[in-house]
Amino acid sequence: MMSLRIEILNEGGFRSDGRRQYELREITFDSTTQASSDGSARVTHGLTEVLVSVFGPREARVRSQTLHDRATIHVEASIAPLSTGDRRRRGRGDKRILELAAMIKATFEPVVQTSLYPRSQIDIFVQVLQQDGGVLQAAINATTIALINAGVPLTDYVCAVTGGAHAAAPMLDLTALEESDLPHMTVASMPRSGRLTLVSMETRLHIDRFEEILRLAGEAGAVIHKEMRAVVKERTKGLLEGMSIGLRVSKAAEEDAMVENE
Amino acid sequence: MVEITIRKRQREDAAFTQRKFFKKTARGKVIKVVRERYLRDDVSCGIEKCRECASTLESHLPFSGAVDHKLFPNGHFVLPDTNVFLAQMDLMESSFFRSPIILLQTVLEEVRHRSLPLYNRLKALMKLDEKRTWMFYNEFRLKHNFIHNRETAVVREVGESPNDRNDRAIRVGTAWYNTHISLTRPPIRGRPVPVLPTIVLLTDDVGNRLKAEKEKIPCSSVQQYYLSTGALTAGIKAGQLYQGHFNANQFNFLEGSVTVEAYSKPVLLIGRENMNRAVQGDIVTIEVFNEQEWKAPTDEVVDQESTLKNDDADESDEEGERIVIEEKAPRPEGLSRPISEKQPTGRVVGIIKRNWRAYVCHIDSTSLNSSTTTSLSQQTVFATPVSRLLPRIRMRTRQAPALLGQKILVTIDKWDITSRYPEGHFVRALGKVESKEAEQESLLLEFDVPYRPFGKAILDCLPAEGEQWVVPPKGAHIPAWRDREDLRPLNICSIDPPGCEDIDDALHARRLPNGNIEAGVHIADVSHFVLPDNPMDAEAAARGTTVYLVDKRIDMLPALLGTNLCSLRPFVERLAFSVIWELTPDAKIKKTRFTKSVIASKCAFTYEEAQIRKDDLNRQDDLTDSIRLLNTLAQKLKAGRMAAGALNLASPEVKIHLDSAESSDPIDVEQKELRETNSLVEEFMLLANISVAEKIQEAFPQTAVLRRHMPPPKANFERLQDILQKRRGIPLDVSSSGALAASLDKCIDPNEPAFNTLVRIMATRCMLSAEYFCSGSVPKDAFGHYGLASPIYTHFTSPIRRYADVLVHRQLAAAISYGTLHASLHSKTHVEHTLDVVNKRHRMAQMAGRASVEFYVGLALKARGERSATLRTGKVTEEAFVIRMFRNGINVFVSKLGIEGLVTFKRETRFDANNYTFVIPGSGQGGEDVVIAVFDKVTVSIEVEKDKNTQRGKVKMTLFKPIVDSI
Amino acid sequence: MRPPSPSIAEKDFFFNALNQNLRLDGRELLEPRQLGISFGSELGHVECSLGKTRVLAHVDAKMVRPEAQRPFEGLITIHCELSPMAGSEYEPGRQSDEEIALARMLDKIFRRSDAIDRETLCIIAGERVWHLHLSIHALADAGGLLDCASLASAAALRHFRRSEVEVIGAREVIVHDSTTRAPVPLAMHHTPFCVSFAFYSPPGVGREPRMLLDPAGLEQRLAHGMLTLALTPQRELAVVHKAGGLPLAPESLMGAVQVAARRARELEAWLDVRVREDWGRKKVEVR
Repeated sequence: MMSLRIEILNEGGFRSDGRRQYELREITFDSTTQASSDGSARVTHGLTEVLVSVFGPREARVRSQTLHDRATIHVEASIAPLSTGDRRRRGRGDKRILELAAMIKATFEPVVQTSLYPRSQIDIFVQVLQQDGGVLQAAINATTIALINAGVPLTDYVCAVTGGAHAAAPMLDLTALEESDLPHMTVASMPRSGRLTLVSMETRLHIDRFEEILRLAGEAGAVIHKEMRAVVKERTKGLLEGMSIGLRVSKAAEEDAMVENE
Repeated sequence: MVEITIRKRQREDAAFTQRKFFKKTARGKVIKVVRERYLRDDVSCGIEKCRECASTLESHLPFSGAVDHKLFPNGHFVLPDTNVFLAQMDLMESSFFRSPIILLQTVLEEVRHRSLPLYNRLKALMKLDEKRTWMFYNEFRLKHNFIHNRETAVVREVGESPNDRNDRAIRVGTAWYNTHISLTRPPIRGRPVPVLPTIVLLTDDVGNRLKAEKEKIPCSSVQQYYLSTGALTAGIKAGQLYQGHFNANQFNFLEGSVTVEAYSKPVLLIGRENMNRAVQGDIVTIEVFNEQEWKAPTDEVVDQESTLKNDDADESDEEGERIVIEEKAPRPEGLSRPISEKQPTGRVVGIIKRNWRAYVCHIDSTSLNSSTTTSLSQQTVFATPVSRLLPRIRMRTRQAPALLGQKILVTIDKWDITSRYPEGHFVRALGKVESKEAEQESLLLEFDVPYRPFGKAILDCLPAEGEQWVVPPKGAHIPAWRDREDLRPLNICSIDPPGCEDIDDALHARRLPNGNIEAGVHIADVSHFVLPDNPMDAEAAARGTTVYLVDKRIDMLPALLGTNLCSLRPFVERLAFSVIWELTPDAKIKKTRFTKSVIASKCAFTYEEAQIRKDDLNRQDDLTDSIRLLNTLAQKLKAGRMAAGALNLASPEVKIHLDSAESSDPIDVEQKELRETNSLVEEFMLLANISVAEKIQEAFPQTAVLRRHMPPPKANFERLQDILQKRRGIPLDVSSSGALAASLDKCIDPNEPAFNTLVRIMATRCMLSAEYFCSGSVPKDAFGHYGLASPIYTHFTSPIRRYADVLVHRQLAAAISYGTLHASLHSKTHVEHTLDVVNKRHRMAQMAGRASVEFYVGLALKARGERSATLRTGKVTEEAFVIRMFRNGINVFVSKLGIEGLVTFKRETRFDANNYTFVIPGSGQGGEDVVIAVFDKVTVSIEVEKDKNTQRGKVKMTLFKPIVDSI
Repeated sequence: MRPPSPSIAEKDFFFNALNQNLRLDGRELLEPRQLGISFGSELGHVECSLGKTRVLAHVDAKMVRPEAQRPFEGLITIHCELSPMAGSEYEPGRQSDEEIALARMLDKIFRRSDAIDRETLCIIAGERVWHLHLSIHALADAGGLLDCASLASAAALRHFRRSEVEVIGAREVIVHDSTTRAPVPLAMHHTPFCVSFAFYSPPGVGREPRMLLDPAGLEQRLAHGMLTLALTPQRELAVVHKAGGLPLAPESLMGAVQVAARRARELEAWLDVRVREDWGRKKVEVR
């Protein structure tokens, strides 16, 4: 098999998958997955797919770890064996997984209004189903939606996106191929204030280019925010409808019962 | 403010949007790879004024394409398929091809996969203004048309090979274009029907053409060229196996040779298969073919870089579809070549020892994939060694973009049977090309000169007093004074080149009461400080010699010894090893004695100062008298040597003046100074060396360290003799050194004073080089030094900068019972091995020195060229002499600069090998033939150009007179 | 044992002082603590101090087989240890969260950012490469442990020299003793320096969050957000780590980056002088 040599950004301005620099991959939000959890969300960015389930707030299992004035947040992450091209089993203690979990925990701790639930625990389970770049980004976005679906009060949405520096121009939402070739960072922002809550970069980049991409990623967060809001609105509408049907049904049943009683 | 959008996809496009395939990783695992593809409708067709494709880029294709082609009177555009670019890139690049080209993304990507260098050329082609090319991204194009849903993005069908799929995509693309044009230029009522240009598919693939015709797509073929494939010499007849060092031919990368004792001429290895992955310096086993199979060495220059430039670094060699670029050097089979020209020919059957080491290389920029400096992915690239004797090395690195334009060190790991190139890895980077530091370091590395700083253990071997060390005061129980003569009162002085800090030798002479003259040569007593078996000795043995570059000196011994404690500085006492003779006024030796001594040099002269002092008749002191005595004796010694047949060979010394400003020329070629004082020192050093040689040979007949110069085999002179005879009618008698010396004296051209020097230079090249040897390993009649016409010789007089001299010192000391000889010097194998190393280092040091000079000459020439460009004084030209002929070029020697250059002819020439002439028809002033022969004086214009791949400043010479060779 | 949460009195005192732009130890808001360094007798053994925080770093090298997927590169492993000596909160034998975090950050800063040229550590491709082992021991933790550890690591890597190796004929490898042949320094693409900031919510609405450079113990514990930057003196960022905590406007972030860039240059100059001094004292080589 001949080795593939893909051009990251060709002269026509197209990336290897046909997108232009500032175009994000297709995003889907699916809130209907897990019935057993309090809230769940499955998010895809292109081919990257992450599923997050939230349990809580509920009674803490280990008393000693509770805090008297607020809820504690636990995050556990796992990566499905077939998530990349080759089947590789990753143990629970894998460094990258632990790091992912730690980042999510640190990101959401100040965002969740934990003081409303003292001595409780909120569990977040993150499952990476498919990887094609932007795993942290997808995990954060999925966690936001899952928490909202679980009814956990947040101070704001958290929207994350990856940005990378190609010699010619900055790019957004990188695939795995692009991540292995370019310096890149993940940026999570809170759209109401426009402030950044998570910035993570592990590759070398000059300060000036860093600034450029940082700002770009912040703006991209706003675009993702719009999508998220639309999804949440949809779901809420659906819930309301369901509830009002239920109300009508119960009202009807009540009326029947009243009629019977009479 | 940029617009950030999310790319949405319709569900039904799933088949188009995901590509699944299987890939084999480096380890052999098979993994499934899924890639996405987003289709879009804003991919422009590139034709100007197109109604639908609004595009803001400037390079549009003209509205009707090219209108001057017979077959397509309404105008046309060319859409070439992949093979056209792979096979006929030259045609596409040439200025004859002027039609506007539509380049499909499919085609570009296929070319990229198949050959990265060709891909790079294609990209360069696209950028040229005179070529009108447009890149159409057919893989991304999606177009909904109200009438048909026609896309150019094509999905592979079941049972279709990737190639077929690509061909189909190309056909679809062509069809789309034709449809697109007709749709965007619809007939408008009331106006004349618009004339539509055609998009023509250009392909040589017959199958493709048939399919295209069936689908009613206009197509055409390109004139096929015939590429002959190389036929390699084959046939294993009876042959014996021999062993020897593999030497590559620097002019022809497909030829090599191995010198074996059984044959008087080296065995030729022709072609890649016969060379069987041998690398310069390896020890190989060869098999020699039958005599019918013998060939003559090539007389053509075949350059590795230009011939292999389209090879791809990542390719394995099993690829069948790749177009093989012609690489056979044509053999003059049919032409009559004299039998004597044929040399034994054979092939390498096995490699005994690889002598690989780290080589200085440049990354070949055409083998680079992503040249963006932010790319972090691993790439396989070619590293081209600076030395022309080595093949390109394939290596994998993640820092390729950062290493472009730098000199790097690469070492070879292995060379598989299936592989065209050896594989290696990156060791370190030396610095930017042509920066002085990188070039200097690269030079040292190329010639394997050990230049690392001395380690702590070595410094511990130096005397504790360091700079403060002095000869201890005389006393019976002082070890330093044991068995040393006190020669401090003698009028000893040293004569050396200006700026010399490491003074090895000093001399004196005085009259004796009996009418004879006592003369003495005193050499720095290095063996007192460098004791056998200590780390400093081991390091010095590994270094072998001090290396002199133009701007740097790599010392064999730490500077403390070399320039201070051992150096025979004036006005201080120093330890020495002295040879003292009693000579008759006719310079005949009556007595010789050797002794360790303590001297106090009275003065350190330069050659010039000593000459002036000697000639100054007002001076009548003892020291001056000593110099005069030495001079008289030296003259007589020299006369005696010349009578015995010593050779006086010329080599111009190119001196570089580093500190001269830009305005004046930093290069100066000086002939060796021929002052009397030069000769004085030379004669006495020779005398000392000879006397010492005799002494140690007598004392240690099995292991004495000596130096010899073998007489050159007559065969080496054959060509020179032939040329001189045919061109000048002068015979060259090489029967003995005396005869040769006499013949050389007679090689005079009254019209050309430089002719004699030229012949001497060419004669020097026929010589073998002198070497150190162990007396027990060689029969006594092979001891002689041909050039000096002495039956025995050694090196004794420069122990500070030569390790062999240190060994000789030790042996001499033992011979005069100063001490016992260290056990290692009693062992023949040890001495042989050490001298092997020393010989090799010596050769390398010479080559490094010459390369350093060449580098600076190159710099100076470049500066000169730039100056003449700004001053518009025309090209830099110099006189040169033709010294060698090839089938397609001549080798000239520019005496003023001491450099050689190759001039290749692009136009038609007639080469007469027998008469050593070149005839260039119709190129003279009046259209007559111009004849150039060996020894002719010509004028060449010299420029230094930077080869864009190797980043070397190459001296390029083109013929200026008698004809201007235009390209 | 987790350190006790700061008492209310401590908290109030600290924030009151901060509102007046005062720090507990009298430093300026952006003033770092005093640096100290001492070298051991071996090359690559370094002890660094930042205020009262002290870290020991040690580098050594041995030859091993390379990884199959990367036969041209040497290996680097980083190992951290936070023993109870550093602070009572660290338990012996168990890897605390801080230890894991420290090891991860150092790994990101020095290994993943490609600070050391791994290709130059290759001796024979596919067979023998150098394996560098960097071990960090925290001796005292008074806040800013990561900054100090990264400085110690950078110093140790700069200071260290490996033995010179000679490969004969692509098969044999000769390792030369460091006294006979001067040992060779590591080829580093760049030297990253780590700078940490602590952020606190603004005292009132509409004001900017406050930023402290090189937070000491209590300052670190009371921080509302932490930002760790690793950069080179050539103004390149190697690692940016801001995980949650107080959200920052991009301007505040960039402001911190600029401060860090200046600090990195200072650290580089300081380190260079110290390492050269020690090499001179040890007479590692003579030209």
